[in-house]
Amino acid sequence: MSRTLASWEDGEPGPVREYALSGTPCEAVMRHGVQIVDCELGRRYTLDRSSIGYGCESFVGSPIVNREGEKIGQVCVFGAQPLVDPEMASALVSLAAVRVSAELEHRQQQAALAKSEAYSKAIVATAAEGIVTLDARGRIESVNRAAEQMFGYEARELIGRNINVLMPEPYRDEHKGYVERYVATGEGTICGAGREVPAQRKDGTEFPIHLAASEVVLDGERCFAGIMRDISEQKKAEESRKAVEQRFRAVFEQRHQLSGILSVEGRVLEANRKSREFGGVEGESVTGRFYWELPWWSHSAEMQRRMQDAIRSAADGESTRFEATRPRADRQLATLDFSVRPIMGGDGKPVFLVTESHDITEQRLAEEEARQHRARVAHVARLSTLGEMAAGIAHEINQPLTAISLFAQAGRRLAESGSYERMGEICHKLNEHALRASEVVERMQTMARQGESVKETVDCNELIDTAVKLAESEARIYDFQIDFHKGRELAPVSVDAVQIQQVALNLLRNAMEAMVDSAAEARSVTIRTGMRDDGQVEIAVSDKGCGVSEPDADRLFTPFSTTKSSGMGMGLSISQAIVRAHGGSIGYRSNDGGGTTFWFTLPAAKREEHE
Amino acid sequence: MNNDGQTVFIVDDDEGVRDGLSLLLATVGLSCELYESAHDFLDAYDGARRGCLVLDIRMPRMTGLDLQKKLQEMGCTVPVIFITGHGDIPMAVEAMRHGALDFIRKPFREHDLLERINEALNIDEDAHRKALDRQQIAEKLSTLTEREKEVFDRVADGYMNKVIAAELGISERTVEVHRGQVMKKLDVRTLAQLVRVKIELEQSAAA
Repeated sequence: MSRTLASWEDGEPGPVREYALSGTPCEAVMRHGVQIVDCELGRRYTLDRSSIGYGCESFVGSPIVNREGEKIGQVCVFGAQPLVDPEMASALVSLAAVRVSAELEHRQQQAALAKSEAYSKAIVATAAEGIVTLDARGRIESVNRAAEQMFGYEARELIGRNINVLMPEPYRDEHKGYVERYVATGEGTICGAGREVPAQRKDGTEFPIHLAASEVVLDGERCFAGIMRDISEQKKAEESRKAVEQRFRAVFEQRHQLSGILSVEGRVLEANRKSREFGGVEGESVTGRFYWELPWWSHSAEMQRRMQDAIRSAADGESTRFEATRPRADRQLATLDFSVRPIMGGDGKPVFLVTESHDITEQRLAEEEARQHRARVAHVARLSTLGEMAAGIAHEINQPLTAISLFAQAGRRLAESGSYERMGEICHKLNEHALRASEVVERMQTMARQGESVKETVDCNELIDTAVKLAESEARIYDFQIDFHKGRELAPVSVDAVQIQQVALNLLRNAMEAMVDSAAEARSVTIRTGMRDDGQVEIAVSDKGCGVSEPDADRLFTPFSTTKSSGMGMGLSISQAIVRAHGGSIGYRSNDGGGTTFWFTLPAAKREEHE
Repeated sequence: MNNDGQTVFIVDDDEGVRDGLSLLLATVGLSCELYESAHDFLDAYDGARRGCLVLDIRMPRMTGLDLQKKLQEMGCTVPVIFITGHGDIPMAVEAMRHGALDFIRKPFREHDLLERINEALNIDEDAHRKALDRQQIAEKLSTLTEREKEVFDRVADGYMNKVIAAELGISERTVEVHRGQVMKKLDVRTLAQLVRVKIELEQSAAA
């Protein structure tokens, strides 16, 4: 449907009319431009079902075209008579259409301008920033509410005064005439992206502002607008942040530990002085490089790999700690207690990584020395034990040797008499008993060994079984029964096997010695293995002997103190040293039915140790 | 070698030693029985059986020495050979003091071992024969009358017929008749033989 915006009928303004465009001459105007029909209009537009030109004879129409060339409407005249001068009529209608188009455009511009001005006023009035406009002489023309509040003035107190009233001395004086000079000569700068300048409130207090100024030329007159923000809070926060950072830096930089901060990718963001100078005078810069590629670890590809792995896990949120090595200034490799851990951001993801190393070289050396000393003492004690056990061991070896000798002699006799049927059986027995003898020798040799103390991950039952067999060589000749109750599902332990067997053997021999005066039926020692609630493996040796007397109890674990007629008194003290070095504990308790139980514990091997 | 009806009883807690011993003894035709402990042996012990005992001095629960003492208490006289290891000498000496035949150290020299065992079996054989002799004499002695026994005692002790007659208040002729009767009953022909019977009697009484 089309609608008339204005119409003139029969010498006066007509009503608004709505009509279907289809088939009308008006449609032809919208499609094809200017249309002139000088007579017989009804016969030309037979499809026109509207009443708009009903009974009319002639028609002139011209489209209204906007700036973009679109037809936005038309001016048209229906005449009751045929046209006398169609060209004159067409020119008049087209002129009217052009005039209407210009008028519409002007109206639209006016509306847009009014809207823009209203927006600007609203923005200026409600802006959080202070906005001040100046004329070409630097006098204040307008001040918004934010600026009033910021400076403590009312707008009317400021309008007309020079802008320097808002500045503290000495700037106030220096700024006198600055704007005028700029306008006159172009010297100095006013406009820019913004800068920090000092400002002064009405009450004389100074404060920093951020100022962005722009220059506007209006009708040949230059004027200026300044947008300013009070940044005193921001400055204060910044200063306190700087102070915090300074304090952090001082602490970080002066730490005795080797510290670093890495990006999640593993690049060095910060490395403190101790870590930079550990290898001697500070060399090339480490900042920005991948941590594992630093020259600190270049002595070992393995170390580089472990560093990279550790940093990867840290980036995944897992802390890692291990013993690393790094060359010192004297080129010796230092042992470092190294750790890397992630620092989590608010979203629970690591934002950076912190590395920390503690030089434990001296500590390790001291531990190593203590360990070697302990190993030597343990070895001496084992040799001494073996000496005390000589009779039992000799007996243990002599038994199979006797059997071998007997089988060999019988075999010779049978061979001499030409009887060979049992030779196979005899040779088998010879071998069997030879092996039996060699097992005893081997057990003894293991005990006598002074090897490097090597930790291996073993099953406690197997370990104790060997100690029990050794103790049995003595048990047999002194008529003792040893019962070994093997605990089930024992955690593996990571131990120096010989040393732990030494402890078990020592406890077993002590138990037997506690019962030398007991009746034959009572001469039995029980050794048990089992898991404790705290996850440690416990080995307990129980006797039915005389128990531990009050005065002896205090000296039980003291070296060279003994209640026995033989031995050095080293057994329990070295046992205690061995067990403690393995991270376990040792002790004793009295049994309900008499006698004593000596026990020791061993921590379960860590998972990586029994891989 | 004559060991009919004799057995070598071996008591040792070590299976290898037991097996080796039994095989070696079998090769020389000796029959033996094996026991793992002193208790096992005592359980199976039969005083009437003949032979010798080869006994380990160190065994759990009951040692060889303990077993030796126990057997003596039971009146058993079977010869005992101890087998010992190193460092058992004090125990071996103790065993000898209690009448052990000998001790042999492990490992054994075949010659020593077999010689000792044979010696032991011979001793057992002798003892057995002597025991039999003593039994016969005792049987013969029991056929003597009271008077004949009195005459036998005195003749064997070397008294003259005249002295005996005076002591018993009978005639010298009567003494001679009794004496003849005694020699006939005891199956001896000379005075020396008669004296030996008397000595054997005294010995067995002492034992």
